[in-house]
Amino acid sequence: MVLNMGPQHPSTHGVLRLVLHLDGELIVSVDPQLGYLHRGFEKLAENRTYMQFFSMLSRLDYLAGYFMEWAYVRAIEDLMEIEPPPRAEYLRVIAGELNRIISHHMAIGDYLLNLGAVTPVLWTFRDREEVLDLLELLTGQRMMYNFARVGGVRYDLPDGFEEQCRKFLKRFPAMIDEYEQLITGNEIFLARSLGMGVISPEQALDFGLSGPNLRASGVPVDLRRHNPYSVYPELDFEIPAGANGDSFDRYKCRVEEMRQSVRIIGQALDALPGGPVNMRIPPMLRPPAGESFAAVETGRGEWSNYLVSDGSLRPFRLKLRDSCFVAISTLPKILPGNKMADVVGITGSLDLIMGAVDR
Amino acid sequence: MAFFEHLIAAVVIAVAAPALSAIVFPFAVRRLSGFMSDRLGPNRVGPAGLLQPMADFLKLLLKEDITPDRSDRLLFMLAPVIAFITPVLAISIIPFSQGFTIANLNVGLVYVVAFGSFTVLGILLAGWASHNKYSLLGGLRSVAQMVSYEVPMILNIIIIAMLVGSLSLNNVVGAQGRVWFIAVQPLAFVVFIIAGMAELNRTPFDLPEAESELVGGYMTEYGGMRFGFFYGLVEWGNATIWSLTGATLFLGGWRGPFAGSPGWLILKVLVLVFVVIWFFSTFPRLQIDQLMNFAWKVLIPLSLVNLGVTGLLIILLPNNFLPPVAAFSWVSVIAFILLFQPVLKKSLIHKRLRRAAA
Amino acid sequence: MTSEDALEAAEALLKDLAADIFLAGARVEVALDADSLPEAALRLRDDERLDYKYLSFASGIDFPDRMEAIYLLRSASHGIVAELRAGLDRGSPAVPTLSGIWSTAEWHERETFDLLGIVYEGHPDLRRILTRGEDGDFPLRKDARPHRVQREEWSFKGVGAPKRLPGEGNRTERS
Repeated sequence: MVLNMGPQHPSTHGVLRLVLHLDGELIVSVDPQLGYLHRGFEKLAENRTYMQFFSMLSRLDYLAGYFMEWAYVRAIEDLMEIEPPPRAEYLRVIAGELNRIISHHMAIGDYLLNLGAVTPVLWTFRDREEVLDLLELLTGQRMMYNFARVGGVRYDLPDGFEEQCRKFLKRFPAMIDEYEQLITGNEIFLARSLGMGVISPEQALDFGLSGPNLRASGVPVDLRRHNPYSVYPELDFEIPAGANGDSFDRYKCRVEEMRQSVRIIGQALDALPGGPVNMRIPPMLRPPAGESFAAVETGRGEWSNYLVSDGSLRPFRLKLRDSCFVAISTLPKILPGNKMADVVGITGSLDLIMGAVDR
Repeated sequence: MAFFEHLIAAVVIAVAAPALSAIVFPFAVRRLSGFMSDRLGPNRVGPAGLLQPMADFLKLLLKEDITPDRSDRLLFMLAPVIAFITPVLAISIIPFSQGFTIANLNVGLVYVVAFGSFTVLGILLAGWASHNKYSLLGGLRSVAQMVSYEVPMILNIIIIAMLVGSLSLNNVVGAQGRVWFIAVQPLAFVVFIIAGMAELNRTPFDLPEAESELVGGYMTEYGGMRFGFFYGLVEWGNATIWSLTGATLFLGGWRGPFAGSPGWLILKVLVLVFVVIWFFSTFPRLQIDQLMNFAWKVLIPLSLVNLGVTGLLIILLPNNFLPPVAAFSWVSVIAFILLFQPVLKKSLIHKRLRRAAA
Repeated sequence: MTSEDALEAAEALLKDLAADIFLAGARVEVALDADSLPEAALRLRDDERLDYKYLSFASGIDFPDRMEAIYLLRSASHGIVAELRAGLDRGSPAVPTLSGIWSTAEWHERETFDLLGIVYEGHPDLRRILTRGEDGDFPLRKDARPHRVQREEWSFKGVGAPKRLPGEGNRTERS
């Protein structure tokens, strides 16, 4: 039986369409069809000045839009050979880690919703709201931040942010424990996640997975540590890794990463130096001709920009590399042989976001 | 004249109970699961949102009645009605209080089981007639599931029938004068609850509708009041019947402290429905093969052993079999729960998650 | 491992294949011929020191005079990024596929084919992936022009059999 799942389906994370060939409940083959959200970002970038394109970036991965801005400004700074002041770097890290937390909130909640549990998604959304409040305080926006700037960040910390953030950091580990109490020991959750969608370390590298999906397979590669950028080398944090590469490990990695993000934000707040948060740059950016490559570790894996400049006001070519695109490309290889119910289970555990996939 | 009065009372109860449950329980689900997941639930329409089900009902009534193109029209329209007949018919034999039963059948237990299996027909027809692949999958899943879970359900009802020595529900309640059967047969009660969840397509076993996989399962193509039929009347009507049967079999029916009355029965029904809602907000969903494995490899052997041992004890000790039966059942239910303790597996998980600080 | 070490190792490994190997910032950039791309990629992947087991992405750039296919490589054991670049003829860009070396290349190459029209020879499944464009319509090329949306007057013609969507297969098959 050919089942055309999506693009309108409750759990395809937007507009993913999967053409499934089923034998009863068993999956024989999967053919993902993309492009329902294709907006041509790479072409749009070529027709806009550097700053005009900026406000569009957070529409890519709309659940953690700040990472896209971060990678983009890093690519431009690389070309222009400028370095932002240290306070700005710390603020970038704080915003980035808050974004990672909301990204994982969404990932965990949605995954459990795909498995049929209603409550976890509401609990994670309840706490996600608090982080969104913090981000709103910091950047003025809940989701489309426009916070990073070439040579710094847009605003300095507002009054009361540090206090509120520390209060949140103190409470947040207890909230994570609460999710774990509800989810991690649950017999049915374990039956649905242990040994499902197993990806071996060699396969994970071959598939080009990144982020929690790669680390769950037991390859502890995190760009924050592995290919250090910003002030991450000065911060102390662990990189949680799984051992089996199944859905459970992917879930567990995300939970542990949330704990590590709390540590990172705490340290960044402690070590926050004084000074300016941005520097004077020409209003019309005109980076010198050349190529630059900048990658950041988002909540979903490697997000990198390959920027080619010809010395004009507009990027000559901007390649956006997204990890969810890669994660979807693994579906035809790991889904066959599983049951129909695992289509949503495994896609949920890979944490896809179609806005970034289709670009 | 008494016959007609009786008839009218019967019709009123049989129609009103499922209808009332279809209005009250969805609201209860939304409010209670709302509280369990830290949100409010519907609270705008009427005091504390009490009129919300009425508003939903009106909306469903006023919606356009859509029959999908290329569907089997007759079966498509018939399916919700067939599925709805079950609760209406089954309610007629529940004893509401001393001498207050619509029909005192001496084969009451058989009757309940027989009509309990009827719903599956309506669901299968709905799945088939919709001409939709999701619906078909949902319908087939529900047949596999409900037929499998019927077996442990019936085995446990047989246990109760053996303890009572009669198939009449009035006699079942009568036999629970001293002690409720939940205290005598907790194992049967646990299996009854689990199998009941599967029979009702409720959350850990809600594969036939599985909104995250099959969109809406067998009711994907239904809209308006036809959807209302399935969502409200069939599901919650069946839940009511199931809770009424459970309350009658295990919780002493209308019996209670002070004086037996229908009020006690309703209270017990509410407790059982609360269990359903509780499961709904706590558990993810099983997978179809795990579901079948659980029925055939765990529940049915368990019920068979329980049935055999109980029968043996009844034959060996014909005069005083309740204490040994209770002892056996309590021991096995505790063993059953220990076997599925998450603690056992938890240690394994923590071992598996190694942290690599590269 | 520093960038200089990686550069040295890559030079030793690829001196007979590459036209030029140099450092661009912290990345090792390898410019080579399209034909020697698979061999160079295989050597880089299987070398123990460089260990480029991981393909970050494959893409292309459309320059006025040429087209370039680029591959970004990463390693799990060190942080130095390597970049393979092959210049192609802009009229009929074609390059051997690397999807047999890193299976992630399969989709990245489909995307590049879709957006830039680079043909990957030997690719198992070279279909368009993001757009549904006509043949020869490659949006990321510099000479691509937006075309007008064709509209036709809509009228109700009754409900017919649903149209088959791309990739859906035969509808009559019901097993």
